[in-house]
Amino acid sequence: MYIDGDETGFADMNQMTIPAPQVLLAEVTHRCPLQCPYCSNPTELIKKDREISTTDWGRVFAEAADLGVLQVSISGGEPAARRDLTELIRAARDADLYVNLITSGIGLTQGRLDDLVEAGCDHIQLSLQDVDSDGAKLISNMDKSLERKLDFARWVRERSVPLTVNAVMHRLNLDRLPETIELALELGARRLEVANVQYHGWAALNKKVLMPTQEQSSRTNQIVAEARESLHGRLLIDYVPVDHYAEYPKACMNGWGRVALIVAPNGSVLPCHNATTLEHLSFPNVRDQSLSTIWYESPAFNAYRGDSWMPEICRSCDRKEIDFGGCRCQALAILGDASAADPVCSRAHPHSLVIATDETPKVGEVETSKQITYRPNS
Amino acid sequence: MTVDLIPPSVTPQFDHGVRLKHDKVRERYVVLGPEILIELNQTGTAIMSEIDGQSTITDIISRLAARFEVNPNDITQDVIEFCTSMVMRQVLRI
Repeated sequence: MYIDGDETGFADMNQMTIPAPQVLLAEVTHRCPLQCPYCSNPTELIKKDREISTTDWGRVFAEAADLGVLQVSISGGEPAARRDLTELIRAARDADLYVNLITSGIGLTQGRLDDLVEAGCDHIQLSLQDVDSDGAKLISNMDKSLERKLDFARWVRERSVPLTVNAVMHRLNLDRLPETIELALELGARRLEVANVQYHGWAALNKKVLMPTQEQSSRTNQIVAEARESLHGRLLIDYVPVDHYAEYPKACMNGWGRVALIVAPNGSVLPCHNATTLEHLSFPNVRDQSLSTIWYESPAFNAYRGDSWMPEICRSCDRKEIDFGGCRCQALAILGDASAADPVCSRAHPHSLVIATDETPKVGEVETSKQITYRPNS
Repeated sequence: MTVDLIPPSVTPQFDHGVRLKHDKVRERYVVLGPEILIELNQTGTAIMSEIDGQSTITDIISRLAARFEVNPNDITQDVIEFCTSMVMRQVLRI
């Protein structure tokens, strides 16, 4: 416990001032039929025999709702790899949560989709690897994955469930962004996420193949801005720019332990997807403690709240309540210090730091699956 | 970006997958939808509570005016602007 609220405007850390969480990301499994080389799961995947049970998840959803969580995103891996997905969705709705299903669409039949919708699935977010069939195969390492997703998107629309297309963008597909936007419209999506790969975990292993050029990045900014204008009222576009070409850090997770919590397949509770890379922290488990205790009292969730952990340059910065100091995992991965200023920040570091430490991609290199480190399709 | 205001003759309803919820932990109402989480203030809550898929904006304005004992003309612009912003954010459809 520390008190430094007087000078900085940040209140001291106690249960009265820590905001209640609003969002739960339920990573119900790490198993997935696809093998995308930028998967947000940690490189050390949790196996099926360590996954928590249907009953455990029901308790997690109820505790989350009591704690103030309003929305749950049921994600993976591929959540449909769990046979009890319908029961999980029903349990989340019974807890009065808004239920988003984040899926690849692979492994869901029309009959199973009917069950999920009947159980109360409010919204479906479909991941899209590429609008080009070969490009989609190169990334997913599965034949006809694009074609199967297109069928799935049609089934979702036929059931009047709102559809968001989550297009993960990188050097190999960014030049097809206009076609990606077109496809989202054709599929009847009301929202499109143009999400550039975040270079952690699996993606960090594949940075050389996936990192877009600065020129691609700038063009993307322009295409998104134009599409937002011309499609206003028809398609909402959420945009995650290439972090490494930004001037300031992203507000990673909207701040550590501020808005969201993640429950991993084994019941481990994390402030962000990649937090397990922060090996100096030990993450509590829903099997041992209540979510409330974990959120308000655990050392892991309190580690990077407020500003007492920040280096002076961040603590005195007027952006600290905008980006909350940025990404801790990136600071550790690139600078070797999880408490350092985010390496992206141009105020704290020479602007070229992130790019210089990367292997800058060379356009025109032959890209084949041999150059890609796929995640296993466990 | 300029936005055309919706006319008061239209009948707004919640878009697919959007609902109003009482947030018991924070003692407020919120709008929940796909990637949508909007905290409502008292005015927003009053307007959204009147959305029933049957009433026009004009109907809603007169009910609110009666409920809060104000002149309908004084709240017309606010209600139309609020509903327009909710349409733009895909919370309401008309």
